[in-house]
Amino acid sequence: MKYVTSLKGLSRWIGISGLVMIVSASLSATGPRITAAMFSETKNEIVTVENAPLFSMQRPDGGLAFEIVSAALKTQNETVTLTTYPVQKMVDYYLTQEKVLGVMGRDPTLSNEDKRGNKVLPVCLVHEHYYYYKPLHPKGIVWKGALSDLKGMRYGAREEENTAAYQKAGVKIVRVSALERFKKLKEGEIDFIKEPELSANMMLESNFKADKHQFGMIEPAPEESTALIIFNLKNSDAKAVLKKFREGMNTILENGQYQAIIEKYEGKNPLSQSHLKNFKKLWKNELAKK
Amino acid sequence: MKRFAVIFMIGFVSLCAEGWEEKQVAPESVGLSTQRLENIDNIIDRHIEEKKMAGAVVLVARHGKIAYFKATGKADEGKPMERDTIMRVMSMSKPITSVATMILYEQGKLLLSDPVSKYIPEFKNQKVLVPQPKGSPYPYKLVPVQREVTVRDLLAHTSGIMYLSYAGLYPNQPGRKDMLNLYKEAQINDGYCRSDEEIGDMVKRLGRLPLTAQPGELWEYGLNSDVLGYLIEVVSGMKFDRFVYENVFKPLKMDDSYFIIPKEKVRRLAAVYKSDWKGSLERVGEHEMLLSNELAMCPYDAYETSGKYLSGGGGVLTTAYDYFRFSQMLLNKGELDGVRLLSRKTVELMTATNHSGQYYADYLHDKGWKFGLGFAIQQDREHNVDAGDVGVFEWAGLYSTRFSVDPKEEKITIFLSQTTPFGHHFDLWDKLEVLSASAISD
Repeated sequence: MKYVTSLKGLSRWIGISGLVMIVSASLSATGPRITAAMFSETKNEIVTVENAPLFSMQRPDGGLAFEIVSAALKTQNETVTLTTYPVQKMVDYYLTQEKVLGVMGRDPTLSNEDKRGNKVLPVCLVHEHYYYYKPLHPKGIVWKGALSDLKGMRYGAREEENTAAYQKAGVKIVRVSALERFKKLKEGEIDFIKEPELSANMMLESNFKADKHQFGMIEPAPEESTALIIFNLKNSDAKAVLKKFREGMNTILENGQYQAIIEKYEGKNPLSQSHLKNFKKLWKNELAKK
Repeated sequence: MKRFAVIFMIGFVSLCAEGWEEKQVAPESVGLSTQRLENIDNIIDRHIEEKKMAGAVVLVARHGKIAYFKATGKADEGKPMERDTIMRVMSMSKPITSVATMILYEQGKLLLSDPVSKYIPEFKNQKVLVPQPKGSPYPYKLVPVQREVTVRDLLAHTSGIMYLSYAGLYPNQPGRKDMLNLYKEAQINDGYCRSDEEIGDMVKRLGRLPLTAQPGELWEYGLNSDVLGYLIEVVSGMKFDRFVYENVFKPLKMDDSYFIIPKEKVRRLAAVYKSDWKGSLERVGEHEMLLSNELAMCPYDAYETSGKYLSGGGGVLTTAYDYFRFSQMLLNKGELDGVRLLSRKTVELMTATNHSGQYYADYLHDKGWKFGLGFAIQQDREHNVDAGDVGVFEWAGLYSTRFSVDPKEEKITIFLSQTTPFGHHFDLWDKLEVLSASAISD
């Protein structure tokens, strides 16, 4: 059981805190942020729910996961634009009704309906953690890696999240919108949530600056999730772009670009160093599936 | 020489210390009848005796002078209503936000015809939610806007941005429920409870959601002034409350007006009372949220001496005298006590009646009222009308507060109470307007 800031190594801490400082500076700025996506045509449009710093129109590079997609396609002279919405419903609408090129999201946030009939590919690994509010659990939350350890506790699940495993383990499910999860933890309506570490750091820095240290990270980390891209096969360009994406990913995984993007966000630390190796395995398996 | 200096100093100090007392005159000196103004005493006293409201402050001014200024009843349990009691004026914040916007307009920093996306990129490529006939594969379609939302649309409430609380007024209108669900899912609120985020955070989410109608196509009272609050931050580079303080409250000497009240003035705040207008009067609890369908209000927010969300549509705390100073500036076409905030041309533009096209702003009265750039203006006397005049402009706040400015008679009427729900006081306000107008004796 550890503190939000008690990370696995000093180098990782320096990397993350540097990132948080950069991100929070951009969050607190009052000026408009002009990104290419905001003013460009919607050809090759990828839509997603705003979830900085993974997918974000607030960042000129579109966020970690989008930057990887964009970099991969760039090697094949293809460009894509990112549009983010505040609600999943709108993303689903654009996928099913407007036939956009694709949608992105983290694995738990994308429904089977979104995936059905379309091509789903991983983009990167997302390191997640369980979080709790320390003043309400002064002795911490004991978890040794099995969901049954959390039996009887209230889990703040996302609206669209599949919670069958939690329910099976006797964990109570409370549906909470993404924007309110830390607030509900603090108010005691839920006991723990699962959040990507990068997003959690940003959220705490921007919305709970005064008491961010009151939010604890439960160790060990649960299994990492995956950021995905779903190519909408009803879109007439999707197959061609999908082919280029596969080739582009192979290129950036080998030429160091992928690793550079990961380190830009996560810093240079043991976790980001193992990211490439782990993701390559996943990528190879996905390619083998076709 | 020494004596002259002392007299000069005394004069200077008294000028600096000018409060409402210096503005108050005998009603007859400004063409109002003392005896007729006393009718206001009667009606307010009766409402308080009948426990329709706990207390109220009423101010009537003419030709720049205060002719009637009385506080009646209680501000809170064991605390009498005073003329300087601080109140939540809710939507009467909107005219203040509009004036702040027009200050930037006069500084050449924005145009009313500018698309909002020029300053807040999230408003680019907006869509309008168009409901589809029953049995369609999807309940709605999102169609591109025919033109972008402009700054003027925000001021005139023709943007297609809605309030959640007003969406509930049209439960059977196709598409409303879908819009409401999208707003809720995106954590949009009406700004009447101070959320723990910056204005920009919510406004950026709002910009990515669909509109209820094509911009300019409908007059719909909505979160527009909150968007203006963030737009002011972007254009000025200052926090919204700071900009309003520096450019409106401070120059107008509105010394008791705030978005976040200083600690030493918290004791001057009035409590909010629930009234059924039939004699049941109950003080709203310390941390009680007022919920009615989609409307959520948090009177206790006013006691907070810090906070993040600063609502341009409903966040101002002020007194009757401060709001009189603001109204008088508008009546004087932009100037008060030698300080000019806006030009005559700009105030004329704000009070023009053709901003909302064919649509009436009939929430507070009836048809015959149009919305300008921050308030409603009486356009004609053909429709149901009790008082006022063509050109009178006014607006209201959800805790039963009102102001009206009659440019022709150079008269201002302000009524502040802290009573919920909103709808009950309409009859009282219409009567106050009649009494204020019928006190004119010249």
